[in-house]
Amino acid sequence: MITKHKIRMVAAAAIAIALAGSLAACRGSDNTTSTGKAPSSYTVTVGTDLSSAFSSACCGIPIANGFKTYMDTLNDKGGVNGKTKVNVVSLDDQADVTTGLANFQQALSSNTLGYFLTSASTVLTPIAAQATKAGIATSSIGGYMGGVGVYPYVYNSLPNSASYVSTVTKFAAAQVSSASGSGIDFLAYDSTLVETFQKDMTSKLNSDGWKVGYNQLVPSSATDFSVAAGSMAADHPKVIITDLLEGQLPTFVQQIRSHGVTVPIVNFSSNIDDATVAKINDPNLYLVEFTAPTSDTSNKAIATMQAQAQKAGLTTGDSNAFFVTGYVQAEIVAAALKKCAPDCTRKTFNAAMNTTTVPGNGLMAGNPGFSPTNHVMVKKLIVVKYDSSKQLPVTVSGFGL
Amino acid sequence: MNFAEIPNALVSSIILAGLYVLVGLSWVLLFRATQIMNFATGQFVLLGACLYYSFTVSLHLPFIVSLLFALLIVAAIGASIHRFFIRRMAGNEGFFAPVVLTLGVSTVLSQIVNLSYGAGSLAIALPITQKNFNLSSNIAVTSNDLVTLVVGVVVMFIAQLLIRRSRWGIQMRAAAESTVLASQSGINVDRVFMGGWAGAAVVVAIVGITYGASTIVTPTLADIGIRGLAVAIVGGFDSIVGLIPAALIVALAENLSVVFFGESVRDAAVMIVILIVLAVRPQGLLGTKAVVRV
Repeated sequence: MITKHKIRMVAAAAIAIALAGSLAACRGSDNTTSTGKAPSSYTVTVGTDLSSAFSSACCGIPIANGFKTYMDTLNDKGGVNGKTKVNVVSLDDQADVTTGLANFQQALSSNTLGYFLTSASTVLTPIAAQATKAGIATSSIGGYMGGVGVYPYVYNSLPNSASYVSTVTKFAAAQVSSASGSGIDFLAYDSTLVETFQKDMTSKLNSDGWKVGYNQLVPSSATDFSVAAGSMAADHPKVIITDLLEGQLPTFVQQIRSHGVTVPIVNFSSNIDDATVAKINDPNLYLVEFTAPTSDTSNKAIATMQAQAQKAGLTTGDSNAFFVTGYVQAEIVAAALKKCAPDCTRKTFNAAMNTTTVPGNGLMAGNPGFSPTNHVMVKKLIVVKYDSSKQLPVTVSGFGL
Repeated sequence: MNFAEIPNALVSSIILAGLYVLVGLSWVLLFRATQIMNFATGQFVLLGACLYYSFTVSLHLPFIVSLLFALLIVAAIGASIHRFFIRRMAGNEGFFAPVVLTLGVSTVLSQIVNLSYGAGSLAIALPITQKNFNLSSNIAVTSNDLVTLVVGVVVMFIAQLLIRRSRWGIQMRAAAESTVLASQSGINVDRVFMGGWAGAAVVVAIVGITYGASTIVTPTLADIGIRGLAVAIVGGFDSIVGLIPAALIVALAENLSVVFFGESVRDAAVMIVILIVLAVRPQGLLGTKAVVRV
């Protein structure tokens, strides 16, 4: 016979089980375990856009290959502390939110310590929310949250608006005797991130006393800039600032120069390939970059990195700045693993990432890495121009590595 | 708003129309021959430029040899798509199956180009000296602009001549009108369709080479393919002559909207033109109105 007492007991037990379950779910899971001795390998995941069917394939493949090149080289030397190898799992999100989330869930249910280099902000947005809840280090090359990173688990692998504004305006000021009252024009391709850049850049230029004239965003599909070139020519600017895409910059430079405008053009943020700079071959075109020029093999760090890529069979994209970004990020991840070894869990690994910087060593300016108050990996930008005698982009004095 | 920019915008529109008319021609040529809309058009633009790069930069072959080899290979790929994929869909009267197939082809071609050439940029050049021509204080054109315009006019003329006067052109028009009747009257419809695919691919490969030489070859070069769709819709999908006013209208809409409202409205202006044409003349400016017996 079922008594009221028995019913109360069963109900209480059911409530207790349900509460325990929901509390466990709220805490999140950390499949990594602490054993006290060095495991044979650590696992980290690169979840980015590796599909050529999408435009961000320009960045996904090079960045993943750069990351794997560093880890392959490290593993050849025995791994972290010469003892623990790093297993890199690559997952292709195809710049698609659903695929990205499924990949992230797959990584989360494995023993991976971090989920790195997500390419599109749209993909990172839902992942970042879950990463913070689950307590796993995550990084992006998109402009998620204005590119400043989200504490304590989400890191930004690229420069943010503040870095670009600071370098571009400093460089522009160095091109004129006085910024006050000098004309300056701005032309960039339209994206959510670039809209932020435009707002911040214009605000700083105005506060520095520049007279901002032509100030427009073009669709990323635009192939013709003749009207912009004509309007800018009529403006007589002292400097032109652009953030144009690889396929747009050569046409724009050609069209603005055909109007007889010879002033410095400063392009930032668009990851212009060295081959494109060589093709444009303009003595007054400057590019604000976050890595050393990859075609300069007299730079020992670049030559070593490319030799390692060759050895690892990962040369696709090794002349791309994103390859260097992936490589440097792997260096930071490896340094963080060294800090938390031998007992790396997601929590201790993230704590280590939060306090790890590495020397730029000829690949990047400054000391790239992270701190509890700064989740922007790139600490300093450089300015390069094409040197036709060396047939290479070279750094500009005062804005070098 | 800067009214002084209007003459510059008008001249630039003529140059831009020279580019758009060729991309539009590829869409129309194929549609006239096979009634198929090819969403891999942009990938043929990219493929032409990449192959030209291989022959000129990697193999150091002379310009004319490189050009011919690049066009021949692209033509062969175009014809193969019909031979091995589209042909097998014969009897499938649906509109969407071939469209989905061309979308698949675009993905595969992108992947092949990416694996073969990487995701970086390729610099190609034409054997011309770079010069600027200042027509007035604020109107300037470059030698690349003039090449684009001249190539556009010449290819349009040749295409029109081929379709109107050549045996293949007449067969193509017959096959497009009625595949069954054309076939029963002894026309090798399959060969005609393969010619349509090859011709459409060659036209956009020429765009890839001329436009790629004026800028840089990256995977985004393929994006220009979709501009041709706008021109084909405005001109009328079965009218080659209609492409000329259509390309001019699209280019003018783009450039004048920039003069009056700024760069951000460029794409919206093209869409507005398409919407107006579809509302007023659904068959396009010079397209044939379909009459259906009910």
